Amino acid sequence: MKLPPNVSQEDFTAALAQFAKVVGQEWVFTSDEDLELYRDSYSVNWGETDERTASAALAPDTAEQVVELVKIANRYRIAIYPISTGKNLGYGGAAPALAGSVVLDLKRMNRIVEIDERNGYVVVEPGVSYFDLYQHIQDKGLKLWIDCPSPGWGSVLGNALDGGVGVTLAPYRSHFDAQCGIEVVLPNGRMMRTGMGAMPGAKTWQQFKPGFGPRIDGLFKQSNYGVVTKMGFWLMPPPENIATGIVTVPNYRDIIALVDTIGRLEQSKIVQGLWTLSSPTLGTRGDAAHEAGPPKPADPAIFAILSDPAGVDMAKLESAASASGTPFWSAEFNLYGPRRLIEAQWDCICEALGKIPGARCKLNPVRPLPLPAEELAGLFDTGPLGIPSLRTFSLGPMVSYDGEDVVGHVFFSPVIPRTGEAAIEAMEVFAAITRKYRLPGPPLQFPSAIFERAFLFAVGLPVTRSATVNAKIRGIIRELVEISTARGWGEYRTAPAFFDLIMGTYSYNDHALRDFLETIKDAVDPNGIMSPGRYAIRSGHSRGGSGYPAGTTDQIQKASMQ
Amino acid sequence: MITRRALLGNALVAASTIGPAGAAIAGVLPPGVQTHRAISALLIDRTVRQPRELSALIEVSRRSMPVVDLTLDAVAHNTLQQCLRDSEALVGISSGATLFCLERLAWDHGHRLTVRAEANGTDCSSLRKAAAAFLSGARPAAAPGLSPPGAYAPSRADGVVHVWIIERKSSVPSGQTGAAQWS
Repeated sequence: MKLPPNVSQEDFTAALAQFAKVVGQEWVFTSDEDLELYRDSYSVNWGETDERTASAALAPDTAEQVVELVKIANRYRIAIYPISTGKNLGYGGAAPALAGSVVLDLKRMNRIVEIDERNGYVVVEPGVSYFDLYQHIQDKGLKLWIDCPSPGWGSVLGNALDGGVGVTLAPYRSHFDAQCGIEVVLPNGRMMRTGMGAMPGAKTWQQFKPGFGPRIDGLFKQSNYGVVTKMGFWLMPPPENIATGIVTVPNYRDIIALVDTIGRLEQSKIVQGLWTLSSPTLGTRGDAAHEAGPPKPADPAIFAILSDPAGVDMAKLESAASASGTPFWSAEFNLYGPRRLIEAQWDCICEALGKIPGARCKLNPVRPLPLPAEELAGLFDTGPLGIPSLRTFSLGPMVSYDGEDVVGHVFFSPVIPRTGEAAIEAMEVFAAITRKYRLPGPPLQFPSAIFERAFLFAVGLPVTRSATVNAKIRGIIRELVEISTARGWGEYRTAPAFFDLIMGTYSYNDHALRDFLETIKDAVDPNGIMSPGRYAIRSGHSRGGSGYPAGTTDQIQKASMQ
Repeated sequence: MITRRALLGNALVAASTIGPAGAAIAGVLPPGVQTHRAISALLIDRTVRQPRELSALIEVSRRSMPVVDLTLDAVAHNTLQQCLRDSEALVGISSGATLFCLERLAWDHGHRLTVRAEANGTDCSSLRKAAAAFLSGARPAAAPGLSPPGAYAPSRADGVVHVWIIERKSSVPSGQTGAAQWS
């Protein structure tokens, strides 16, 4: 049996017996078979000594049980690692940040505590998945919509705490920003409620985010200051209609005016739905919407330029695209609401973007919602319709890399400025890395507008079961991080293998942020039992030389200075 | 040493080659010998092309048990959850990617992946034998194509077809199904 760090076999056995008294023996998992599912299937350290695996898992059913488990963990100084549903693939899965931790699996706590159609909110426990919430709303016939990520089997609460995002309207896409009110079991076993929930019998816990005094909800995002056992979220009324609209612009550098103009429309709240940048020239989505039928195959002249092993020459590509009459960029807008609102939004969008020379606009038919079931069945992504799915898995992972089967991916996810110039720079920088290491992927990957004011550039790197290839991938990620940090682009989220690497890049004034976070950690979790190392936050006794991988922080800091 | 489980499984694999699964098991099991948990349904991943060796077996199975399309979306999710909730054991034919999702969803209902066979799309005769055995309620300890249950690539593009059984973990207290606890 694997042991938690610095815990004797005798103490661990005694602790497990006490854990079992709280949750029942059947909800204490210690066998290899059971613990297998708490491994990160997409781990870049799979099968290596560095792989972070659990020593045991516990599945409590109530917040009161969580309180008792936390107290026992404190008594024996056992590291625990709460997960909601453990579906955080590409960012760590169910595996703990510190090897040997006891996973606190909160799947059984899957109650929808309260749902209020009138005021548009829900209070959920950690085990409630997007599927569960969607189904509950359908079963009750409530006039509510959810914003879900892809895939939809993840926890509503867990996704928010990890900084996850969805694909519908801007105020709901950032899931942590859509939360209103947290109940949390602190590392000392005390339960606390944030915001208005701090008042016993509060009537507005899910209606007023600021509460009284400092707003501390953010301390529980991507951190390890407690076990969140309930969380409120704002939900949206179901829109009456949906329509997609496409704007194309002819030239490569038109992206600058395109992004600037859309940015102003977003800041004015005229554009609220997610818009997607794509390129008809590069053969990606967006071009088919102008005409019926599938996208046309790439022009042979364009294809030859795209296939150049030395990289895509944008001047040549633009010239070939112009000759074939293919626009370089398209922006596809998802528009929601009453028909007259959609049409008014579209008028504003076309008026603004129509000032770019050569721009073309097309609004597709306004469709009443919900769409017919047979039509939904044929869609790849139902997320923009507020419907969770697992269809993203129908893509399957990449087939092979360096002669090894690819079993998953790990994300490198920098946030870059919402400008066309930054988009061009990022696309070219990351395309060069793709070519250098022959990574699977298109010649150019585009930034996502999923965040309201910045671009996300999520790159999925292949993960295999080969230690050699995975070591190479880890090296590529380190290189990507260095390149990004030197340009002022930071990652918004990462897998546990890179927590320290990324936290090391947020080093302003000699790591003042990390030091502050660890000062809080020392105060609220002096025994360091709560998810040690999650997002590189540790309590005093586990910091120091072994706490931060040698050289990593310095390397990144140097890169950021250059 | 050959265990009773292996002996029974191998016998069923052999028997399955001579007729429909349901018919085979009746003639093989000695009186009084119990199989494992009864198979409640056959789950078919419709996102992979079924090898022809398995198609006939699937059709035969329709006569004796529900055959459920395994798709991963919100509409089918409800059916799948109900299937997991109400079943003690399920046989499935799927890609690794779909199995990967299902294994994790099944976990929430107290189920575990207990046996699995795999083959690439070019030769699935051994897979048909394994599927027939699984459908008969056997969990052969050794058979062509049999692989360690958890050691598979969660892929769709690799062309590998998996046949498997997931079943409720025995440690879940009787009379208190995993579903009642997890949901």
